[in-house]
Amino acid sequence: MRRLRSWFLRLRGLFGKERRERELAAEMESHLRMHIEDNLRAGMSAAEARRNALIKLGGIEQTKENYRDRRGLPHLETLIQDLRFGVRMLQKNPGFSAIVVFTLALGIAANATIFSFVSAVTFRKPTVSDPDRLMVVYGTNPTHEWGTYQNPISAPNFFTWKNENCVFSDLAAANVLETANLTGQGDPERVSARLVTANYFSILGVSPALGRTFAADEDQGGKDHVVVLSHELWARRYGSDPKLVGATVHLNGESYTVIGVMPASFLMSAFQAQLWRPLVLNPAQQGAAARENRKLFLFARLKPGVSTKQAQADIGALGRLAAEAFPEAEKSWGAATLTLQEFTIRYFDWGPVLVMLVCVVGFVLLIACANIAGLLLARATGRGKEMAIRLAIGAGRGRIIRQLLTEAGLIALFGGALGLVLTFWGARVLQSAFSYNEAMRAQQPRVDGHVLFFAAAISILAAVLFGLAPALRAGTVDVYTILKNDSATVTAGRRRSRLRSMLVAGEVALAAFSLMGAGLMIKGIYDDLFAHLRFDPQNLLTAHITLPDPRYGNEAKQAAFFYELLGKLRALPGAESAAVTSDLPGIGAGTRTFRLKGQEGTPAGDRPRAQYYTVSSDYLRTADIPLISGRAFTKEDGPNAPPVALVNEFLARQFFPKGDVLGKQILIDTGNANEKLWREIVGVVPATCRCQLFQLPNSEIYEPFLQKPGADAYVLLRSNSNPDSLSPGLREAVWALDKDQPIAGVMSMQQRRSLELGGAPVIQTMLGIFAGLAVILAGVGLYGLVAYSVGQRSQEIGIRMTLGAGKEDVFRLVLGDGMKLALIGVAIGLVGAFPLPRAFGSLFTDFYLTGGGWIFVAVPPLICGVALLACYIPARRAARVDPIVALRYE
Amino acid sequence: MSEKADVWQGTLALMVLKTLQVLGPLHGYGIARRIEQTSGDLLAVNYGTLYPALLKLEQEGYISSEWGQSDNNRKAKYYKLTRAGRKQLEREAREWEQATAILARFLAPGEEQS
Repeated sequence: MRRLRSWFLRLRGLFGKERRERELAAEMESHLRMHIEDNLRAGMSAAEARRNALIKLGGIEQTKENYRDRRGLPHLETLIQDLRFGVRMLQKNPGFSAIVVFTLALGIAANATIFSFVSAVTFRKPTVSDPDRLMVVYGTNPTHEWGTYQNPISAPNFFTWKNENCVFSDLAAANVLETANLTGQGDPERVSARLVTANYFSILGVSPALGRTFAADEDQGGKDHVVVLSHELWARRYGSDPKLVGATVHLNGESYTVIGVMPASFLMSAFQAQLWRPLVLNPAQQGAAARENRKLFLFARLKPGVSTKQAQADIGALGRLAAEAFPEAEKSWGAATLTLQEFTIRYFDWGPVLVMLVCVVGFVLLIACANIAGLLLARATGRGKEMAIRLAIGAGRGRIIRQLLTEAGLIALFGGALGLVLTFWGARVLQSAFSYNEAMRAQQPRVDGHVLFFAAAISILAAVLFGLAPALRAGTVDVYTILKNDSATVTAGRRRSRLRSMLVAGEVALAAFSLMGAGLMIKGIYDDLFAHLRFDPQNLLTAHITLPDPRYGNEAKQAAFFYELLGKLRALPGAESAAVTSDLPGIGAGTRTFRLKGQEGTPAGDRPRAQYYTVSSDYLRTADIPLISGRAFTKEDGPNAPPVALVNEFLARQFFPKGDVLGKQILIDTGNANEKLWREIVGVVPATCRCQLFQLPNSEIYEPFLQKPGADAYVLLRSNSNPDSLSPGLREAVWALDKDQPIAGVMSMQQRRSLELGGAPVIQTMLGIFAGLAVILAGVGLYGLVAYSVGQRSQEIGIRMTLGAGKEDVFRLVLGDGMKLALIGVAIGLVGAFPLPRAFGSLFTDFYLTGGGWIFVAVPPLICGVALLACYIPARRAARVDPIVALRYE
Repeated sequence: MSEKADVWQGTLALMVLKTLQVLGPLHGYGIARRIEQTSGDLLAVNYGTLYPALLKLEQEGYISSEWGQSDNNRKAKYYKLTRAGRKQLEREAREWEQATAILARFLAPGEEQS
């Protein structure tokens, strides 16, 4: 308490200084007078009395100084002095200050914005209870075609591990995501469904917002027709109707009772689903074949006191045991476990993309710091005399370094504050860019405590980075030379300008490197999502039509409706062709398992999967998908004609490497096990779907719409101009056939793709913006250096001109100096960027860049162009120097 | 170095408090003279060091100050003990006595063997 009080008083001692000084002086005065009087009384002479009193006191000024130190807070006082001085320096040079603060703010905002995303992905805990103790158990296999990614495991392993592990209190299993057709009460729609064991929700520790979750026996056959809905589905499709609990909904044509609705906060990102059904698994019915059927992820609660490491060891051992016991099925398979959060991070494989973004924005910040350091160094040269004088009249070098660092800190403070304001804005932009699907909405970037801390930390780091060079420089100022040698300005400090040159060349190198890296990445993403797109998304109009059950109850009616509609659509003015398809190209379809001739006996779980479409005869022409071999569907491929199918190139190459796919028989499994219809493969088309960034293409199978009509389909309409102009015609055509028929999602293919593929284009844009920012900042840095050196060398230029140098010579001299640095920087950046394509290739599983070489050719001239612009203005100014003025000046 | 100064500051504070307790309100010069007289010639110290010590005591709330008239009608700043100061004096004096008593036992020859 006493201490606090005394600190408070000392703090107060910083203010009202004048009065306190007067009082101190008066006290000293009265002390001395009393002492002198006493001395006089003791018989000293007047002079001696005074001398003795002063000696006894120990000097008036020394006493006052000691007293002042005790009165205020000396360190704080110095700091305040430095801050005040720093603010004055910033005010004196508003242009300089604005550039420096804004540059820094841009760098900090870019980094903090990206960090808000990193933080959302890596720090935010899943919304389950005690998330750090919730583990996901998964399979590993380094030789598997999907690499070492987290793989699902088989049911037999689930049962064995559930019984034999000694680290988990309980385990639940959840199926890999499936889609289901939800019908009844409203339009039918395809929803994502997850099959989970009855204890799934209790292991996650989440309770429903409404109703209940699964009872213990509901994952047994016969009792499993119950369903829990996600909040999103409940609110959107059923208008948040509380009476829905207990009602019946239809999934894939079977009826289920809704027993509960999960809260809106229950977002599982990687494991998100729109509804949950019980997963029926019978331990007794797990034969040898079941081992090959890997489609479960396990969720487990750690027992109290068990660490994640112990769990990892235990599960790893169980995995090895399984591999030893069943060498045939489990060869090279293993098991591992991670907390749900870590699992999610690896599952999305955000790592490489985040590393890229963080690198680019990190470079932006480095360039900004180099710029500011360069500007501060330049100013330090101008302030050399000020520093020398300060040193000469007794300031310690430490004191001067401290003052310069304080100035740097002040810049960092303002830059950081402005940067934070920009970050709030940036995070909001990211939020809207990253809300394209459920999983992403669970990981919305926000400016939270982590981000604030990060912004503060990088501000301080930046201050040290750009403040240290000038400060250390100031510490080595040679007072004597500077004060004596006025003419130092003619060929100003070679060493100092060398440091600045290095900074600028480094900046250019970083900018060139960033631009090439970002360029390669942007091209990679573009190739992946757009250039390799094997259909033409331009000028395509799409609409979703679901025919209601009672009126179009049989396949013939459905086929008739859609074919009649297609006829009307083709007749629309501006329409080139029209087609019907169960799913849209380039977005992805539901999958089905299939068998080829000779593999009829393969158990259900081991059958290969392919994305499955039913398409009308004009589909390939309308989507502009080229036919690789064989033939397309025609109108003759009707219900009574021989059953046929198309497959994509990926499937053909995988199963028929010899290229003899045409004419082979394929059996596509439907929900009905008795339906065994062998189809002849009549044609091969390219893979259209790479639905996620850097994902391998999937197998795709097409069946003729007429042989497999459906009530739920998309209409594709190719126009010869803006597809939106056809949408009124499309609506009228539908309503002419059936005035009560609803039409959903009439939009262009481009629009639909940007909805579905939100993430990648956002990353592309961000990379582009940040790389551009890096180049602009580097240009500003180059400009600053050249402009400054022109100012410094005006005397030298004047001398050159009087000695006969022409304006062009001076212009060339200045331009040459700047461009030399730019070229060195570009060369370094180029050398650094050469291994990038290979580095990206190893970072991203499926990054294959074709013909990105032009980026290496295009970036250097671009950077040189910016550099030329940056040097041109000061060079022209140099050429206009009037030798007489320049020489008379100083 | 600084440790020595601290020790000195601590004891100086105690001396100041004691002086003010015995003599009542007093100015800086008076306190300095009194300490010097009491200690004989053993303590030769600059009077100047007294002022930061007085300021510290005042900041800590053990003494208070006000301007007044000295015996020969001079304006002087008078310091006087506060209630907190009186308590602090008692506490410090007791601690000091304890410390010296313990040290005395150590330094008394041969006593710890018996």
